[in-house]
Amino acid sequence: MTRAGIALLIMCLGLPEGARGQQPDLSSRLDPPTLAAVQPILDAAARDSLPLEALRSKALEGVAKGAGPQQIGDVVASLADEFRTARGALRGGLPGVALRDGEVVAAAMAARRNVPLAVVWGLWASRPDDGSLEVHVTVLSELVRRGIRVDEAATLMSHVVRTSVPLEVAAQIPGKLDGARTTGAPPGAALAEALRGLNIPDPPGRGRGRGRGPSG
Amino acid sequence: MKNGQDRDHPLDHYLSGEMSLDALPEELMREEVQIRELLEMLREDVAAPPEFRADVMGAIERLSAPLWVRAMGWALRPRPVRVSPAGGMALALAASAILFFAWPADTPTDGGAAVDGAAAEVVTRFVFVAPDARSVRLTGDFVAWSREGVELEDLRGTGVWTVDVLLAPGVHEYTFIVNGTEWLPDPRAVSQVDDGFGRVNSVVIVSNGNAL
Repeated sequence: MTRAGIALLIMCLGLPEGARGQQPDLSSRLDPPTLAAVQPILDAAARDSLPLEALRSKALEGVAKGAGPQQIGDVVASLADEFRTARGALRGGLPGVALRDGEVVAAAMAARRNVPLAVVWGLWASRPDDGSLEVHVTVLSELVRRGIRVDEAATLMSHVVRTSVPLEVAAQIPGKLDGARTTGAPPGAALAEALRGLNIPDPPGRGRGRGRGPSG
Repeated sequence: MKNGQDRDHPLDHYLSGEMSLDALPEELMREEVQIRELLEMLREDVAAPPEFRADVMGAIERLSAPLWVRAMGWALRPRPVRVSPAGGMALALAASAILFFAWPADTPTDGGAAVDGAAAEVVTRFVFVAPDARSVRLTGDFVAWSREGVELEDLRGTGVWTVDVLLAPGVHEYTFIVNGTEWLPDPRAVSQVDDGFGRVNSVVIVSNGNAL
């Protein structure tokens, strides 16, 4: 083996974790009591294939914000439970479908917004390819948070997924809705205006300017 | 002298000034005189031969080749390296470890096909208006919630602090740290979420084309 080969080997071994898109080593940022509180939760999360990086990130966030070990442990445990519930529901409705960590996190956040997970997994049924639905699920929950009826938001987002509306366009829907609502329009009418502004075709059964339903 | 252990050696006494040159044994005195003459020679101005300057400048020119050229030259020149059997096995194990740990891992799957999570990062601009702030930093999941975070700049002195950050497509949580102590959400964010620690995080949705 040449010296260059050995040098390459050493360089590869010495790659910082950040260069591989990983979080820093928890033990370097967490004090022993916090690590002791968090590690068993992470171990259980790993066994259940939960989004580990999001849990590690929450622990690091707690440290950065000056929270104590007990509180950090509680928050991470609570988040892990949310992920476990979301993942279990998605797995139940989507057997055999590969789930990304981001999708599980988005589904958990949607559940926080009172979006039923059965509605969330409906987006997968509309998916024409295996692209990530993390953003779509997030937009769905943001629409619900803004007062759009769950079924209406779900129909719209399924339509967005099915017709392959570009992600950068889909991601603008909540912002456009906010803009439309500044004129005083009710949520349904404002959503119709937002969709017009983004040139998103109407979902089936939702005519232009309709939006006079319960959320409009 | 044996590594300075023999303190009774005459040379020790001479060097410490306790003994004159004349008092040294004849052999040592001769050596000392030769050394002094050599030092005198070295102190004299010596005229360099005519080709000396050209030789030196040529050598410097060769040395001043770009670093990468010299590095490539060093890296590509084969050299025999002796590796013990144990060392060879250790290197083989290390290589296996690299393949195992550093190879792009599949996104966790639930028994289905592997999911390709790799995507190009997107330049995402963060703006925070704080006319009275002395410093504004951005932190979030994309910097592992480091308190140092990323520093925003008030380039025009108008209190509009901005920074551009490369983010992976997806949904990220973040917050601003003003003056090193105040954790404040982004009022322009598409959403705010409870952080579980009594504060609020802002949410940014990064799609392939833009960030919101």
